[in-house]
Amino acid sequence: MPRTQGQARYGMVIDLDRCTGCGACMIACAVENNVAPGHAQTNQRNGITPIRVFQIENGETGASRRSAFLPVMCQQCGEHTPCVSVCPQQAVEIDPATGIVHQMPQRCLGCRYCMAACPYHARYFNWWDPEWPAGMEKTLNPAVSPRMRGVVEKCNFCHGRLHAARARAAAAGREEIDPADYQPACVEACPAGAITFGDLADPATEAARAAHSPDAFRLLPRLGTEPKIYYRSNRPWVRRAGEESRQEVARG
Amino acid sequence: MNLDRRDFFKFVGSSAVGLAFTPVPWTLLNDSSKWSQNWSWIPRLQKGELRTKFTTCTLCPAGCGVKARCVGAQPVGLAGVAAHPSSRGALCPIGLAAHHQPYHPSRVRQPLWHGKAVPMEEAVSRVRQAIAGAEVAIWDPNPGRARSAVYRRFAAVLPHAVYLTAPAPEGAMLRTLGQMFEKPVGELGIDLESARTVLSFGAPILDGWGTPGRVLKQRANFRLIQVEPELSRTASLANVWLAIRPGAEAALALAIGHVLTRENLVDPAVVRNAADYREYLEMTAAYQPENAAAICGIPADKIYETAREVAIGGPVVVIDEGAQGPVAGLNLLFGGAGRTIVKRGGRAPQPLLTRKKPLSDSVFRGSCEKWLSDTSFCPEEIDNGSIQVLIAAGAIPWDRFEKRLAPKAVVVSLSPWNDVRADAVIPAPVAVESTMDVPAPFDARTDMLSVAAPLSEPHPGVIDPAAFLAKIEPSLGTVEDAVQARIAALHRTRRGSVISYADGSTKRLSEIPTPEDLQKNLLAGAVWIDDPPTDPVFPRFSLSANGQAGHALSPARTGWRAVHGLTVSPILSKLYQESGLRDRREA
Repeated sequence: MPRTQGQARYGMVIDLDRCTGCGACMIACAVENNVAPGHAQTNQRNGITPIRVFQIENGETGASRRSAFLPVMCQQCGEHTPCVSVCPQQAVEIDPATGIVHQMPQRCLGCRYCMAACPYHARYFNWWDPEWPAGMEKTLNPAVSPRMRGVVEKCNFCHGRLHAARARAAAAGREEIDPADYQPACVEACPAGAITFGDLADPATEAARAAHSPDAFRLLPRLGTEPKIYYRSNRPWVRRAGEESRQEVARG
Repeated sequence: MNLDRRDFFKFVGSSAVGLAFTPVPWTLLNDSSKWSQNWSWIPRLQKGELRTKFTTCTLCPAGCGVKARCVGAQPVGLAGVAAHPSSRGALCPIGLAAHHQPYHPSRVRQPLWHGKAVPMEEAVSRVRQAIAGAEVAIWDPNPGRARSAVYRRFAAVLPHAVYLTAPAPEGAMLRTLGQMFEKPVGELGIDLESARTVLSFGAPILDGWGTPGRVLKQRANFRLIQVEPELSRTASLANVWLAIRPGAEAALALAIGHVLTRENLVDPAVVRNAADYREYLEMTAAYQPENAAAICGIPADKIYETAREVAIGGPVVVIDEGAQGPVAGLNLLFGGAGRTIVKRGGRAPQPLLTRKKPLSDSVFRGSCEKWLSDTSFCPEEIDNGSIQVLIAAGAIPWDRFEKRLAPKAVVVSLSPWNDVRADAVIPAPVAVESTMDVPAPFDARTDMLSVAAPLSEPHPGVIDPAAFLAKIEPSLGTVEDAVQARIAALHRTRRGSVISYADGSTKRLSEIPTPEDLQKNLLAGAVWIDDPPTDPVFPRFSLSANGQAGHALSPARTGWRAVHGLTVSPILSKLYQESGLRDRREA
């Protein structure tokens, strides 16, 4: 059944049993969103990785030891969105048409309250000017502006692609975008096909079906933030680690 | 009014304090930070017509299809091609940022001689001088491409020269398997699409092995049993991980063979086709799981369970990271010949030598006859201390060459990246700047050939390695000529089909009227794929044949494991470093 944009609730379902931790999603995201190669001083704490793949382990030893890969990006909280609540600049908004939590760097003051409030640690601060090696600025995606020093950024489901899809729909005389026409870069790039993206409010989409499968779970559900990023795994320890988000099993 | 010194300081001090309570300093601070946020070094986005180009990735032998989003002629984003029969829409992390390579800060843009920039003509003349009368080796890390013919030709025209290369290590098992048949079977491929169980002996199946896109897209359809001493990424994602003692893989393979043969789990057709089934029974007699358990460190009941599970688990393919006969032979025992291990059919015509000549015996231990065949020498076959000039058309594996080089050898690296140990570095185009033919990867089901069209114009200071050699020996011809000759030879075969990347449409090669049309098709983004072989049936085989004792490692690995031999986009180093996903050694 076709849906209007006002009812859409875009989300993802990531199959952790398929994710091999290759990092293609991180690279595709950085290329799509013009994330600059790191300043010499960047590290795990102050680098910008709008999607970051963590390796988690089951805590066992010997032949029982197992690990899995957990890509974490902005969880696109649907309720009590912490970053929206704390932002003094209204630089974070939830788009009612899509359900996407948008970050507007032009409004951002750089206070980083949102980073402190985000329970998923999925927000990143631009500590340095975005700089590329000489000539590499020619490879920047023309649909996404580089963010300036002093602002926070995060995953926004590749809003450049959403705008492009809307423009194509408008050019074709349609009010709605073609679902096949809009896919974030990480979804397109995943060589394992581990990420399913779509309108979770439309029960006919594959994403909505996958989100309701028995092995689906979300990170930190006890906080009641209703994230729109779902994960799947048929390994109980992976589901447990994800839901509890235990620090001791996360490496990275 | 008198204003003394004390009053003046009072006024200034109180003004400063008072000013702090007004918005003025804070507004100025805010504004200045905003101004500096948009200073001139913040890049401005390019505007222009958006186009889509198609090509093939040449960073590793997998040869994945690439869809490039371009602003004008400049690529700004790469993605996989869903219509590609092998890569299936996937592109690895290295390939996704391949368009950054032309601007990599460590790229060499001018010839270097002992670290100092020299003009191109001077570099040519110095290399010409160095090779005069010397024993020269040409190192080609990516054999089987048309430019390899140019390198061979170069070696052939010099009085004392040899063409060196190394087969891809990942195809070693298939080469071993090919030797186990009574008659030559040609090149073998893996039909992963038919497999329901994959038994891997240490191969990083889920970590960039083979054509990564094909393997990962197929993953949901097979059960993976990983035999490996340590918990690798593949082992952690496998359905079953057997933690084996290092070096005990052959013993486990023979123990599995023992269970299969003693419990009548072998297909009678396999027994009939095995020329040495009795000898195999004798060979496996000593490898009862109870005995093998002590060698492998895997409990006997687990070995029984694995053997039985694999035997009934549908078509099986056994993949070995090495080339051990007992492991490769399991494919035959499980009845994989013709099901999961297939003949590739014909071969895309290979570039051939135009001149044959005997070589100086002083360079080699082996006979000159080998040179006249299609095979090549590995660096290990060269006498120690005999190479006086090494010309490397790519990354130099120094550990393999150190002993082979003469004390005052001249090493010339034809590469986009600086090699500080080389005497000369001649800047070469990066992958997205070259026209290159791409043969089928080692694991392909059928033979394939595509031609990568350049996405970017080469930097003005760089020169194609073959063009550099042509400056020394003008009779070599160009890479474009060699590619054209290969396409013309392919066109004459009238075999197979051409699949377009843009829309997935398929056209029979016989319907393409001229070689020029075929070249145009391939350069626009298409892959030629061979027909299945006319005779898919395999001859009788020998199960007890030993594999190659060892295989020389080549830097030409596939997928993101190729990161070890490549200088990758800075964005990869950054993200891998910041996420901790791969250690710095890997990125």
